[in-house]
Amino acid sequence: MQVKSKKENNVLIVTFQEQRLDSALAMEFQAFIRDWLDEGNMSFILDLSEVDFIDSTFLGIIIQWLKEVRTERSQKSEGKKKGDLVLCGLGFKVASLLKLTRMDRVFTIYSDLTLAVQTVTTNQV
Amino acid sequence: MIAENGPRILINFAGRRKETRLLGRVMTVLTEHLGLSKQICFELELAVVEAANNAIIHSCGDDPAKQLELELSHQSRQLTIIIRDHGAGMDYLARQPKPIQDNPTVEDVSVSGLGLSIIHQIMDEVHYSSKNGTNTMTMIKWLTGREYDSTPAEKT
Repeated sequence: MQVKSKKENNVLIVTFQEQRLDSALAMEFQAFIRDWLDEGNMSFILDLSEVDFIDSTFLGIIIQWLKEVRTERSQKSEGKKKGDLVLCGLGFKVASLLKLTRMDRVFTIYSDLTLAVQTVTTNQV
Repeated sequence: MIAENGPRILINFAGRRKETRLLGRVMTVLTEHLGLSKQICFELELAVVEAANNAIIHSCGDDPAKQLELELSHQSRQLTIIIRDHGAGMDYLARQPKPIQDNPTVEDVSVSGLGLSIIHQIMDEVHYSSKNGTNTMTMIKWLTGREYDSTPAEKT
C-alpha cells in the first residue's frame, strides 16, 4: 500500500497514493494506524486528493480511527480539544460517499491540504 | 437515447477482495454506456462493490478458491444487479441494515453493517435468498428518467 506520512507542528499529515481505498487494503492500513497511535500521534490530516474511490470497509476503518482519537483525546485531556482527524482534497466519489453515509456531518473537511494544515496547525498552538 | 432493452453482462470472479475493483469498473462502463448521471454511476458502482464485498467476506470467508458471479441486466428502465455465491451464505435477517441517520454523532456511528445500509440507501429493491447451495443478492434500480445525464450530478 502506498501511503506517505510527515509530521508538521504535532500534526501527522497522511497522504494516500492509491486510487482506490478498499477492503483489499484495509487490514494493511490498520497496521499503519496502530503504529501512528502507538507513537503518540493524536492529530491527523488525511489528504485524499489522489483517491478516487473508497468503499465502506475502508471508510469504517477511518471512522473507527476517528472514534479512537476522540475517545483518547477526551480521556487524556479531560474534554479539551487537543487532537482530531480531519479530511481534505475530496474528489467527487469520496465526497459523495461521505454525503451518502452522512459522514460529512461527522468529519471536519477542508477543500485542500494547504487550508487543512493552516487551520489545524494553528489550532494546535 | 438508450434502448429499452439493453445489455446483459455475466462475469465470474474469484472470492478475492481485489476482484471488486474490476466489478466496479465494469459497472461504471455499463452505467456510462446507459447515459446515467455521474452521481448514479458512482452509486451503482458502490452498490456492486459493497454487495461483492459482503459475498466475498461474509459468505465465502475470503476464500479465493470460491467462485462468484455478477450479472448485470437492463430492461425496460430497470437495472438489475445480481451477485451469486456458493459459500456459507449470510444470515440476512440477522444483518438487517440500520437506516443511515440524518445527523449522526461519532459516538453513535456503527461501522458494522455499513455496506448493507449503503446498498439499501442506493437501491430501490434488495432481495436475498439461499437455495440449493446458491446465495443470491438481487438489487434493482428503477430508472425513471431523472437518473439520466440530462440531470446534472448533485454538487458536493
